[in-house]
Amino acid sequence: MSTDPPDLTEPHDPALDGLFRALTASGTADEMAGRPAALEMFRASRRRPPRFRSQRFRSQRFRSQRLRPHRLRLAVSMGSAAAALVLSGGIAAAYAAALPAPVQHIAYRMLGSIGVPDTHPPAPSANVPGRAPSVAPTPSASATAGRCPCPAGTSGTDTAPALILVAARTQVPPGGPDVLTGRLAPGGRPEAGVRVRLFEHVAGRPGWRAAGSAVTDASGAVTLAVPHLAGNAWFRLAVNSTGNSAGNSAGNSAGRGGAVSPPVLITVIPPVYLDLAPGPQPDVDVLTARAPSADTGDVVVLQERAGGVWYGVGQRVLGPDHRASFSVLVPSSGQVEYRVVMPRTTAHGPSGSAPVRIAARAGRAKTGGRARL
Amino acid sequence: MTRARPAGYGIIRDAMGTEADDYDDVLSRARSGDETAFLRLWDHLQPRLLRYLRVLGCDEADDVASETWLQAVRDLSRFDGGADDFRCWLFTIGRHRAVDASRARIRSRSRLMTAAAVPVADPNPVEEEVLGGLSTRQAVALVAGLSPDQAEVVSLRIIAGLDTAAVAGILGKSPGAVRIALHRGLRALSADPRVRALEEVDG
Repeated sequence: MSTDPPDLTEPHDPALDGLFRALTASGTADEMAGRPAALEMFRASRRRPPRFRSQRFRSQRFRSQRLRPHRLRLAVSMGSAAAALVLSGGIAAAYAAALPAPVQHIAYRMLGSIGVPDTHPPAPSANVPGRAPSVAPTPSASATAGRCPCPAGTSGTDTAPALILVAARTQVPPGGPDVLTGRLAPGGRPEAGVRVRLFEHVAGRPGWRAAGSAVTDASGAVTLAVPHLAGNAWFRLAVNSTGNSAGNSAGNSAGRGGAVSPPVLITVIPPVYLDLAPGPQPDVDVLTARAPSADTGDVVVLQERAGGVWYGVGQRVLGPDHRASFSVLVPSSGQVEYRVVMPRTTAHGPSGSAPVRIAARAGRAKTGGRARL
Repeated sequence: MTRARPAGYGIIRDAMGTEADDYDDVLSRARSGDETAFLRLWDHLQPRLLRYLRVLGCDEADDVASETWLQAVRDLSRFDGGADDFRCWLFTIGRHRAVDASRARIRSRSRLMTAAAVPVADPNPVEEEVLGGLSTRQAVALVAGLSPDQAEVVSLRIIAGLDTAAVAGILGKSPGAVRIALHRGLRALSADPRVRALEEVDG
């Protein structure tokens, strides 16, 4: 993709060419971060949405709530197995908004907090080919510490099956759940009945730890629910070289070379709050940043908005109470907008507070309105 | 439902426009399910869509962009048009989703002074703003600092690469009004000393 400026027909200052180049520059790594999820969404759209009634969907939801695991819940796709397997398939379809509109809306109301989208009116159903979801939760294998017993690369040998792993959300709040979807499809052909193992690498801790296993369904897919994430963590799926067919002959080819998926990073975003309180003097207010889920010693930066751009005006370190305070002058006229941001650390991603506005007060002398830190 | 190419719609012949025929073929293959073709479209348009949404003031630009692509992909098989039309259609969807997100945010916001934190949409802003920033983000911020009308016209013309007729169609304005807003917006940007600074950064 080129970064040349657009060929405007309207006259414009040549000095703007640099601005145009910046506006049309190639995507940054962060702008392209959603690429795997976009691809998975595209794949999901090519499959036929599952057809079941909303009442059945509800009943499966309640049934699944009794299966709460202690660590990671692995949902295993088993083709058109029992009706008890419907829920996770519904979740996968819900993430892809592939459910019928009324069911999608119900899924959104139940699972919107973990990223399931709502249907958008009008919500025409796409003319897509068939799909066989139906995945269900199973208990994870016992988690044992150790290195990931897979090749260091992102895939196995040339003859090994291709294994991918996609997270429904790459950013979650502390303790938030997430859903991982894996797919085993060597040469584009799904492998069914193959046991794949999930490995987790928690940021700041050494090595990979086994987090469970699951068996691929007819479309080569597994769905894994992560109920609780306290900090940044990478996940990857692996099929070892000894073969792990779970009884389905279609899975034998997975054992020829072994494969490992590219790691998926799930970043925890701790909330940051900014509270406003009167200061010790009439022309001074105190802004207190609170980040209960962040670590003591994490840096918070106070920013002031000017001309539509946020500028850093000071920084503090969170104390033992996970707070940091800034004293700011009350503006002599108009209002000043502040927010606090928290740069990423090993344990969590970047976060920012909602803005806080401080308005001029009647009768205050005109002494300026910038931050006093 | 078939979306025919609206009369008078067109695309600025920017650097991507020279590949219009190529992208017509890419779009055609994406419609038939070619994953590589879809990713090429996504790579091509996603950065611009995100920047446009940020100019609109979307706090959750990534989420809104995802919803935009979700709807586009869902209806892709019934989309009838070329690559230029697809770009116009995608940004129209993005604008609608941004409006929806804005309304939802207003409804859910209980108070302004002490509100719950929201994750920053882009993982980079914190570091960029703290450590000095990158020119693209600064440029987006500069455009966002224009009046809302001017900012949207400039972003659709420059970032999205749509021509005047297409922008007028999306915004429901006359082409003349679009040209005036664009002229005023570019003039304001030219007068901004930060644009010169940005140019120095780029240089």
